[in-house]
Amino acid sequence: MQIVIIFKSVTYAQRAERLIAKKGVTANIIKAPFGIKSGSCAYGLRMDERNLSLALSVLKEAGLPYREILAKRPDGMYREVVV
Amino acid sequence: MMYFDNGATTWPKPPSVIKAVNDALISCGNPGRGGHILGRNAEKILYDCRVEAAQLFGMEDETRVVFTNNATQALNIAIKSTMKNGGHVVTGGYEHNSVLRPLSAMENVSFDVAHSRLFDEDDAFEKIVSKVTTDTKCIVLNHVSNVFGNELPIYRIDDFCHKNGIKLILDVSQSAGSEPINARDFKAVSFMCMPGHKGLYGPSGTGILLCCKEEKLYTITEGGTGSNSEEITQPDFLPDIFESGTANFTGIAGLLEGIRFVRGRQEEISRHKQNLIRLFTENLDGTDKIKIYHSDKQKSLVSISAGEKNNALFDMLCAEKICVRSGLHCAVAAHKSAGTERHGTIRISFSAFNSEDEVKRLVNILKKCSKTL
Repeated sequence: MQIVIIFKSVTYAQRAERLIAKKGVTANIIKAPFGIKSGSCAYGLRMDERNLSLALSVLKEAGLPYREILAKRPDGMYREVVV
Repeated sequence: MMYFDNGATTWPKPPSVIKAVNDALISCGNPGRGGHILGRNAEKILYDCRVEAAQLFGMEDETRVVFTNNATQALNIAIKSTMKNGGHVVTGGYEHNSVLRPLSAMENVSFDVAHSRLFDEDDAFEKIVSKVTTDTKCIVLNHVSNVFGNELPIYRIDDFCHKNGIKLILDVSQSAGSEPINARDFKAVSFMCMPGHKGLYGPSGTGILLCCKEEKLYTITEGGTGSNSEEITQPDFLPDIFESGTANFTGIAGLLEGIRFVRGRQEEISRHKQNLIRLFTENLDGTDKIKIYHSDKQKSLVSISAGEKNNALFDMLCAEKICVRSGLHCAVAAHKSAGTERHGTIRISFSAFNSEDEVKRLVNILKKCSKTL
């Protein structure tokens, strides 16, 4: 399943992408879907669900905040993931 | 044509800079908004440039690298954010009008200019310290004067500010790119301000503001940032708080390549310019009617003066297709410090692209001109 970690701006998403890439995890920056809980005009980092735990530990270590985590359902809709 | 006005903006630009600007016009859209491929291309350029700038200046967090239109905008943001609630400011005696005019425009701010002897760092330090009062919240100081190339005692003032709880704003407009500047070497610096189009060899319309401290920030411009769009108040986080409106992504594409051009070469570029200064001053020395403002520790540029004949000398140089700058160089404080405010000076400023041969030809032309003054 695809997971999207939402950040407050594209720069934060880019910083997260760079930090996570250093750990060997590939993630793609996407514009956050409109209408999500944490607000519009945000950016997200999309990755395989299996990499979520490592990604979150990298963000915690760097003190880089994220807004929410979404999972993309097969029908294209998003649901919030509670960690 | 020979170009010696690199203190205003460097010319020529590296071919990689020109290519990057051209490529960006073809391949980029508005960054941080649409999320589509052209927007993503621009976003990558902006982020890569933040990372390059952060690494060049020793910043650990690239989100603290803010893009501005020039050093003037960076200084306005730094000064007006720092002094939002008023108080007293001390500036060095060689500051640009982009420091003194924002301070003059702030009704709740008083300031003193610490004029000091030219090429005397000890005197500059003592004069700055002597102006500090119990109400002083901030010192604004440039690293290298844009008029005389003299260095100001930024490290000693940083130490003084740290010990006395005073914020320090550094204007590194004439030194960024050719002199080593590392944010980790400072304790009290809250902001560093620089243009992108001088020693960083980027296009005009680019500048950088380094936000070095965790502190409350205040804006001078608000607008769309591509973030927090559901709110009508400005985001409070960097870099968005200071980056409203569509970014100059074509310029920043060039700036990215300009920074790559200087990164790892600063000492080489500095040595090259020092050599050109030495060559210029040694060969011109002794020429009647032209005074040289020179010191062994001078950086990047030299001012000369023919006194009341400065305009005539400048016209002669223009006729020879020599690009230099005459007048006050938007820095009347520096001229008051050095006693040159009556006639100004003619500034010869170098870049990585100037050659020894050009300098020798310039000296010969100046010698020829001086005979007719």
